[in-house]
Amino acid sequence: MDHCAARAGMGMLAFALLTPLSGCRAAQGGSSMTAQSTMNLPAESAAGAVPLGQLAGAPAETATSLSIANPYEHNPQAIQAGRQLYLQMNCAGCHAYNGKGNMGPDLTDTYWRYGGLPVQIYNTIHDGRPQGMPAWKRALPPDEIWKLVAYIQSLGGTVSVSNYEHARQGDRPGDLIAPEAQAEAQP
Amino acid sequence: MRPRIAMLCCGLLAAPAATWAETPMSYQRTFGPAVDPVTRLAWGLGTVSLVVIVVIGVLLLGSLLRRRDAADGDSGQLAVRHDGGGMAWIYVGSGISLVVLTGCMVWTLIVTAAVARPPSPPLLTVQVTASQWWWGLRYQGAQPDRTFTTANEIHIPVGQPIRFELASADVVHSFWIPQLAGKMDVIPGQTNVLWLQANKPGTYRGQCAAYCGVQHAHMAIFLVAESAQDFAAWQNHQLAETPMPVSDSDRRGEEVFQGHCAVCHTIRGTGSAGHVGPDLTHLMTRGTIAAGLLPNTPGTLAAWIANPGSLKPGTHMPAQVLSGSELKAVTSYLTTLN
Amino acid sequence: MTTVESDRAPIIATANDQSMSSAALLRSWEAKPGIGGWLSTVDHKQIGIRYVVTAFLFLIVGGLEALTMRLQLARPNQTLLTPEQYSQIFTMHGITMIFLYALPVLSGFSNYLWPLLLGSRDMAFPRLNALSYWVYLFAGIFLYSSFVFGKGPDNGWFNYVPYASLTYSPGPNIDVYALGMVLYGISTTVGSINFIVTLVHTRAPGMSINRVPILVWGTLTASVGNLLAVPAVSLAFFMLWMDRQVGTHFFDSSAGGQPMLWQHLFWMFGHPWVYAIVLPAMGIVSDGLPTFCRRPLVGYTAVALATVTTMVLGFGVWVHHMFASGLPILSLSFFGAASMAIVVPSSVAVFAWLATIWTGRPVFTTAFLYFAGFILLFVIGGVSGFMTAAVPVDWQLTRTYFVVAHLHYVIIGINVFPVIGGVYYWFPKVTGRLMKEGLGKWSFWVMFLGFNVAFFPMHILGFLGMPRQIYTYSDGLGWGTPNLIVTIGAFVFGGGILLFFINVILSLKHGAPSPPNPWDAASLEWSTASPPPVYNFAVIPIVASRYPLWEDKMNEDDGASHDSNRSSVAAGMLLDQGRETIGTTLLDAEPDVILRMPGDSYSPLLAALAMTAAFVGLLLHSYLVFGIAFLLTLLTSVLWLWPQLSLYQREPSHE
Repeated sequence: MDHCAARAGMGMLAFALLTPLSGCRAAQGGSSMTAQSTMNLPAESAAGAVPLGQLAGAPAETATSLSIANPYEHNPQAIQAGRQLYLQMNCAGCHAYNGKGNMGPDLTDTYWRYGGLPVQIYNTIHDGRPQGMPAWKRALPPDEIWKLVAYIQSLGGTVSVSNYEHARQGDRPGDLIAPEAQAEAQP
Repeated sequence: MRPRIAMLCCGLLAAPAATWAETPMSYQRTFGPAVDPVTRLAWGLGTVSLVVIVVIGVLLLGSLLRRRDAADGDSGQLAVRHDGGGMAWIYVGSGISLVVLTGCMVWTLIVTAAVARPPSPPLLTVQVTASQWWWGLRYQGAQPDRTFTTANEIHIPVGQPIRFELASADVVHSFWIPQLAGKMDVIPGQTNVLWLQANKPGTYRGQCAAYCGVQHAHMAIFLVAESAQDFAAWQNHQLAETPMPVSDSDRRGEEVFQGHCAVCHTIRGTGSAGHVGPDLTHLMTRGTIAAGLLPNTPGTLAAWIANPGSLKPGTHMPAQVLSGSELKAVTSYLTTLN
Repeated sequence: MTTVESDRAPIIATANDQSMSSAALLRSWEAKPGIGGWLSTVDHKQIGIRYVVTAFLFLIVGGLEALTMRLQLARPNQTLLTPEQYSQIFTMHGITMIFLYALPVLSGFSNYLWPLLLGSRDMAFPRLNALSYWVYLFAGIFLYSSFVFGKGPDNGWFNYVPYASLTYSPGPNIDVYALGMVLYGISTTVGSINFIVTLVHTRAPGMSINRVPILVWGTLTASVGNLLAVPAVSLAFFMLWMDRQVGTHFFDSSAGGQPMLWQHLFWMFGHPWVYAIVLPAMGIVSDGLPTFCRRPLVGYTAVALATVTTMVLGFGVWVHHMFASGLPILSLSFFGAASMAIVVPSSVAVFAWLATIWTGRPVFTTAFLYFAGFILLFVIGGVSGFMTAAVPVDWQLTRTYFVVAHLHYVIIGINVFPVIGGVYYWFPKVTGRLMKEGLGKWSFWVMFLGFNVAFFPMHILGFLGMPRQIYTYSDGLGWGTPNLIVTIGAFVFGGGILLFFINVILSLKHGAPSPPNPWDAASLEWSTASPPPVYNFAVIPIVASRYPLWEDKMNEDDGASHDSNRSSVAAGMLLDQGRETIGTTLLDAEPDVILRMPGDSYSPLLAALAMTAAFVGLLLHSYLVFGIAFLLTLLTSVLWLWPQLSLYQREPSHE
């Protein structure tokens, strides 16, 4: 064998030996969420500190609470798990299978009556809301609710955490209303 | 040194024999007409196989070690100097192989026909729904109020053919109780049918036999075959009312259950009607939980509820946030579900 | 030479490696020096060596994966690996061994040996040959690309839907497998085409179809089989990728698709594939054993026909992987009968080998030990397969460790053992040095013992009910002790493989120099120097029998041994006007046309890179990258096919 082949062979041998060792790092795949125990979820008290409605006079910590990020954002396994929960908990029954809403509001547009930040959506699911949104805080542990939030974020209409200034309070009807809904709202 | 080697060899040979005793998944001995002819066929084919291996082994060793004429010592010479000969080996060898294969094929067809259909129409049908990583069971009754659902532990009367209708809630699984029947895949979008019959009372273990995700390894199923009276008693018990919680702690436990567990689990006769996880009515009549992974005791129940992911990593059951007293209450409530 | 002379009559001359003509041949065929030559060479011997080295590196990776799994399974309830890690490791182990080791190593042997066995100077399509290697290498790297990040495919090598669909496997894991396999399929397809055309068209004059070595029959059969089978799997994986990323529903039962369609398409490919990875290896034994038995192979015609019959029947048995899937019993019985019938051609080959040893005079070299040991392992693997061919028995045995035992006996027994024996056999030819016999015999016995201790108990585990693809098992099932024995055997077997690799490295440095024909073998490659010159043969040999180099020793009254009817290595067609070899007719190998062969070129490497980039683009959902790479692929094709005067061919004028 010539010299170059031998060198390339040694390089490939090094690759060959390192590969299974590095593959043993936190393996992710399939529908498994075995890594979830290491996921740092936001503290319940932190999410609970996010007020609803007008924020004049709210304490300074509000800003920190509002910018709580969803640890599961963009995680494909979490989004799929959230989708499964969306179906199993029958969210689709009110919000429709594609999230476009029916009895319940559209989750894919940019109008969020109770706020479209991740932590605000979390609180909506956790606490329930007037006019029919059930409270899931007993039935679903925080981990599962954050996965649901991840799924809703994947639908494209939520407010990004970096934009939290613009979502300090829920949208009033007429604010930031989605164009399609606006057309309907015209008297 | 020699005695030690002898002991090691005996140990290695005896080890398989020692394991015979405690091998609930082994099918060298089977207990029902859906599989007994197959077991005999398997032993037969296995014997034929071993004989073939020994015969070929002897021929091989013979051909390697047999004495040859010293006259061929000149290594420059060939042993055989023409391109031919030796064809008798092929004719005889393949001829015998063909005859043996044909015989085995005929026997196989006979056995296949024998086990294809039950000896008499089954009087009992169990609808099995396989999910990641547990088995839902539904016993259809003649009237709607005789229909009930349970999970992970099948009961059947002995001596009768039973029909299983197999459906999947998610991915491909495979239903396999080796001592009673061969395996049948459970494929989404179609319902496969299996029949089996237990001729001997007892508890038979099965396991999912098609890779279905990270906890495929822990998707066992237990089948209890019992006399007709015992089966009827079990059936009536499953249809009986769920006992009402009596003590304060148990009532609190039921409240915890309704709030935290009822979205996924059902206990018939209470306010819970969840279809995501196994039906828990009369939970304490089952010998195991978590699809055969853990024995059904208060301690394991509590551990399972507190953190399912630590016992069955990747399971879809989340770890509920329960205080110590809530956990105790709900566990004690569940242990009343006889 | 710039004038067109492709229809000249070739000069018949006597020449050897020291002749003036050979110096001219050396100048025509030599690769460019340095890294440029290394990247652009189309020399089949270089490509063959690369295939074998790369395949062995993947064997090491796959072996380490196996040993890791064996550590996890040695005792009940171990937590060395998480379930997800275990799933990725068993999947990658299967992919690595079946796709990245088993076929490429045989392609490597065939690439190196075919022109030498057939009396030719190169494969029919040298640049396509280089392409098939580069695409294989890049596909291998592609398939491992996500594994190193812990996102490797994790659904087993047969990857059933719906678990493989986006709902249950949302990460890139399965996309890597799907796209990687389509890319890999390109390598296999072009390689198969190359082998078939080489056989059909570029043999030495007189090497009629009934005189080609059985290795050639094996690889030919495997190549035809692959051409017909690989499209099924490429289609299946592409459809899976589309279901996952484009929104189709081929396999989605909730939208009118069929999960069973995946199983059919996959196994229609999968079963012929497993014959493709053993038939050439059986050919290695059929060619090597006679050398060490000092007699021609018994039943050449029977063995050649058995090879072809096995592959043909191999297309009719795929449902035996699906016996438990609920298909109607009548159709299962047909496939069961076909699966039993396929034992017959295998038995023909086994008895041919046994007869060759019995009526011959064995020479107990290391290579011979591997070839003889292989016969026993073949039979053990064969009978366990015969047991699973019985449909109702398979309902118990399928997807248990019984099948794991069967598949390892057939793949390791029928592929690895002949391959390693083949290395001992042809190492002197390839490198000019002999391997160490003492260490060789140790490597055989350690491998043989370790292999049987590791895999025989798996039959028992299967009967004890242990399913496949489980990352652990509970106490109290009786599986603990056999698993421990298996693990010990696996490490011993690994030790044997290590001894083999040590022998290779030591022999490369310190092996005794080898003459051209150290084993006194009969086929054409042993007439060249060790290692052969880059042009293989100073003159194209003329072949008159199956065993050209033994004709002196054969009986006088045999038809092939008359003086007028003898093979000739010293005198033959000269063909020294540039890179040339002779094209011959299919059945009787009569000389037909002088074929002009392309020289070194970067096109194969560039085409392979462009194709791989296209697949990377699809994986990353970047249609821009895909588009550019696709255009680059077209461009490199144009570069490749650009007319060169030196390659000008005209139809030969037949009078």
